Amino acid sequence: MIQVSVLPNGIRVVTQGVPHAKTTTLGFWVDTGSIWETSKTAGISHAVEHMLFKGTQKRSSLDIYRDIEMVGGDIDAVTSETMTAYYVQVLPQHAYSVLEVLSDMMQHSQLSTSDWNNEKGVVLEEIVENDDDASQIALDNMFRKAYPEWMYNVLGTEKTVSGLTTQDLRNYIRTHYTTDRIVVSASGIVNHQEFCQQCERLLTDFPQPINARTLPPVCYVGGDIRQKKADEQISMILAFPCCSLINNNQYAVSVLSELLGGGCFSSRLNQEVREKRGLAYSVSTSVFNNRHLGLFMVETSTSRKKASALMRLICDEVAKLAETITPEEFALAKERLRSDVIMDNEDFTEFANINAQYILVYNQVFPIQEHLKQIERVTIDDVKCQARCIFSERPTFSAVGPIDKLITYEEILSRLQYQPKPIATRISEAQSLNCVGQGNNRENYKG
Amino acid sequence: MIQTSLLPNGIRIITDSSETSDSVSLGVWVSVGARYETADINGISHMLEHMAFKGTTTRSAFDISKEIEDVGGIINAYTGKDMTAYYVRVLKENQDLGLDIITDIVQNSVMDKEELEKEKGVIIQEINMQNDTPDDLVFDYYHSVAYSDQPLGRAILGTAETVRRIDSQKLLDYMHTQYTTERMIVSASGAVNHDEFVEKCAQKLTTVSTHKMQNSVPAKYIGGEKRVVKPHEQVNLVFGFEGFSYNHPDYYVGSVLSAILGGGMSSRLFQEIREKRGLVYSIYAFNSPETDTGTFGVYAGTGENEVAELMPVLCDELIRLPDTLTEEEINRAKARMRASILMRLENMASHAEMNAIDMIVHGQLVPKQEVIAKINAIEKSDLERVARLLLKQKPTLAAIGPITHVMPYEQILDRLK
Repeated sequence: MIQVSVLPNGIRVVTQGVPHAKTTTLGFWVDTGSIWETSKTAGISHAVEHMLFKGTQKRSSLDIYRDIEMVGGDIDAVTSETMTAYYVQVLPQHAYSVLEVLSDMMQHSQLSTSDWNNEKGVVLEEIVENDDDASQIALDNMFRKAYPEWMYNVLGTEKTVSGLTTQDLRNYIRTHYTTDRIVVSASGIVNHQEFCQQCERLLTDFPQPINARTLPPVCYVGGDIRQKKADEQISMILAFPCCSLINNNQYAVSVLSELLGGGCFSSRLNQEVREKRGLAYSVSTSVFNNRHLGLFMVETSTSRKKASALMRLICDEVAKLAETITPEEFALAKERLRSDVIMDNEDFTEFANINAQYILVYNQVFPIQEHLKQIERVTIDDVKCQARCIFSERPTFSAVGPIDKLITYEEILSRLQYQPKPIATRISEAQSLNCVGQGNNRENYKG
Repeated sequence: MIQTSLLPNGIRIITDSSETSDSVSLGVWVSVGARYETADINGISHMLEHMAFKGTTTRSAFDISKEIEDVGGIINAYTGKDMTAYYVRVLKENQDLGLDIITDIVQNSVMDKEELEKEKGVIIQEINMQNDTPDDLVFDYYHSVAYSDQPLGRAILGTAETVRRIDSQKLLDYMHTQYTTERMIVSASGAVNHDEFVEKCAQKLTTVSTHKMQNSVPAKYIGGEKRVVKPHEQVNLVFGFEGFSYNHPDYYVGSVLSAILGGGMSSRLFQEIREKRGLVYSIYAFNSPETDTGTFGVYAGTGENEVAELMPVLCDELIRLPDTLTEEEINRAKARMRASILMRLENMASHAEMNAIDMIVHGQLVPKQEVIAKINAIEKSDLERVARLLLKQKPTLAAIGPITHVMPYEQILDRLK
C-alpha cells in the first residue's frame, strides 16, 4: 500500500510497504535539477550532489561512506534536468541508521573550499569521460538545439564548473533544497508511521521555502546540430516536441513510440532498419518528458557509409506513420505497454524511486491500476492524432561522428514533408489534439 | 521454492517459483561460448546466437519476435566466454508460448543464407560500436594480453574478417555439435509450476544432440601489456593479475580483497585516487571468475596528464595492501558482500539466470547461506596471503587513449617489487 504524509515543515514522505520484501530502499528526492540553472551556473545541481558527500560537522566524507557501507548499504546519487536523488538499498534492520546518515549529509554539509577544489577535478573527469561517448554528446547537443533556453547539460561545461564557488553552492542549496521541494521515499520493508516519526525527528534543518522560482517560458526551437568525431560510427538522434507529463496524451504518445520503435524486435523501425536491411545494430524510439516539456526521439548509430540511407529510411517511416497505423499493430502496442507496466511492477526495489517521482511531478501517487486504465483508454485515433501533430513539428537533428557527406537537414525536412507554420497555429493545434479529453488532464498545458 | 529435475536425455531443469509473481522469466542456458572457438571461427558462438532469431523450420524471423512481443513479452539473448543464453519474460498466462519459442530456436534454426548475409552487416556494426566504446574495448585488450593466442583471449564478437568468413553450414555444424543435452539448462523463475514445466520441457526438447563433447581448452595466464593510441579525451586502463575461478578456494578471499581495494566509495582506491587527489571519476577493483581462471584487477578512466600521477599511486596501494589490512575494513567489505547477495535476490525475474549460472559453473545450485558462511569464515591472514600471492605474478596492463604518460611496464614492475 502506498501512503503519503506531509510533515509539519512541508516535507513530503511517501512509503510503500511490500510484505514479501527482504530489504528497504530509501532516500531523498529533491525537486531541482539543471533546468533551474543559468548559462553561468550550468552544472551546479550536479556539483551540489557531489559535494553533499564531502562531509558534515559530525562526519568526514569517509565517515559518510563507511557508516553506510559498514551495514552493507549500496548508495546511489543521480542528478537530472528536473530532479536530484540520493538513495540507498539496505537490510531493514539498518534502515533508520542509514536514514540518519543521509539526513545528516543532506542538511549539514560543510562545503569547504578545499573539498570543492578537489571535487572539481572529479567532476571535470566526469565531463571528459562523457566526451568520449558519441551517443551522449549527440543527446546533449540535441537538447541544446531543441530547447536552447532550457536544457542545460546536467554536468555543465569545464568553464562553468571551474567558475563555481562554494558560496554559489551554498546559495543554491538555500534556495533550492527547501522543505517544499524535498520528498523522502521508502519501499520494501517499511512501516509508514514509524518512518514518518523518524523523518520528523531528523529533518529539522532544511531551509524554509522562499519566493517561488521562475523558469523562462518553454520554447521549442529545433534545428540541425552536427559534431565531427574520429569514431567508426555516427550516432544520430531525430527528435520532435511532444506533450509533457502533465497531459494525458502522454499515454497515446507512449503507444506511438512503442509501435514505431519501442524496445522490441518487431517494431516498425527495427524491422525495416535492422531485420530487412541490416543498416544498423540498434534503432529505437523513446519519449523524454517531464512536467514542463516533452521530446519524442529516434536514436540510432551506424557506419559513415550507411548513415544517410538509414536516416532517409527513418524519415520516410516517420512521415507515413500516421496514415498507415493498422488496428492490429495498435492493439499489440497497447498490449505490450500493459504488459510492461505489470512486469515493471514486480521490481519493488524501484517503488521508492517511482513514487517519489510521482510526488515531484503530480504531488500525488498513482497505483498501477490507474496506469492500466489510462493505457486502456487510448484509441487508435488518439495515436494517429499524436503522430500527425508530433511529426509535423520542426525536427531537431543531432549527429556525432564521421559526419562528412551526411544527409542534409533540408533533405530531412523535405522527406518529413515539413511545412513551416506560425507558432500561434501550433499552440492551438496542440490544444485541440487533447484527444483523451481536457477533463482527464491532470493540468492543462500548452505544448 | 527452488526445484531441479534431470530429463532422461540429460538436460537439466530448474524452477524457482514465487506466489507473488505475475510473470515468468525462462530461458535456455548452454555452456558454450567464445572459449569453444578456434581462431578461424572466432565469433561463431555470438553469430549463432544472432542467427537463432532468424528463422526455424516452422517460424520466420519475424514470427519469432512478433509472437512473443504480441503478448507483451520480452525476448533476448547474450553470448559470453563460457555460455550462451536465450530467454524471455512474459506474463504468466503466456509462459507456454515463451517456452515453445525458446526451445524452437535452440533446436530448429535454419540459418538461412540471405538472412545470414544481412545479419553479418548487423554484427559488423556491433563490432564497430564496441570499437567506439573505450571502456569496453580496454577489457578486450586486457584479455588479449592476459591470455594471448588462446580462445579466452579472443573477443566474443570476433573480428569483421572472421564474421565475413563464417557460412550457414559452419553455423549448423557448430550448433549440432556444441549444443548438447549435457550442456543445456532450462531455468525459470516467477509464476511457474515445476512439474508442469518439466513435462513441457520433456515434450519440446527432443532433438538436442546427446553425444559427449570435450571441454574448452584450459586457459593459461600469460600477462604483459597492450597500449593503443586513440584520439580520445580519456585514458582507459585496466591493470591486473590472474585471479580465481568460480570454484577456487580463494575466490571469495579475492572478492573481499577487491572490495577493500576498490569496491564502493569507502574503498582505498576511491578514497586515495578520487577523493583525496581528484584524479578520476571512475575507478574500481574487480574479481571476475571464469570456469578455470579469473581476473583480479583495477579499471580506471582518467585524463592524459592525470595518468602520470595515477599509476604510481595505484602501484603503491597494491604493494601496501597485504601489510596494512584492518579488521574494520575487512568487516565492512564482508557486510557489503553479504548485503549485495541478499539484495540481488529481491528481483524474482533475475532468479532464472542466477540459478542457471550456478548450475553451469558449479554443476549444482549453491545455497546463498553457504556463500555467506564462506565469506564470514575469511580471516585477515587469508587476505594477506592471497594479496601477496597476487602481487607475485606478472601483471597485465591494457591502456587506450592519449597514453603518452602511462608509466612504462618495466617501471611498474620495479615499483611493485
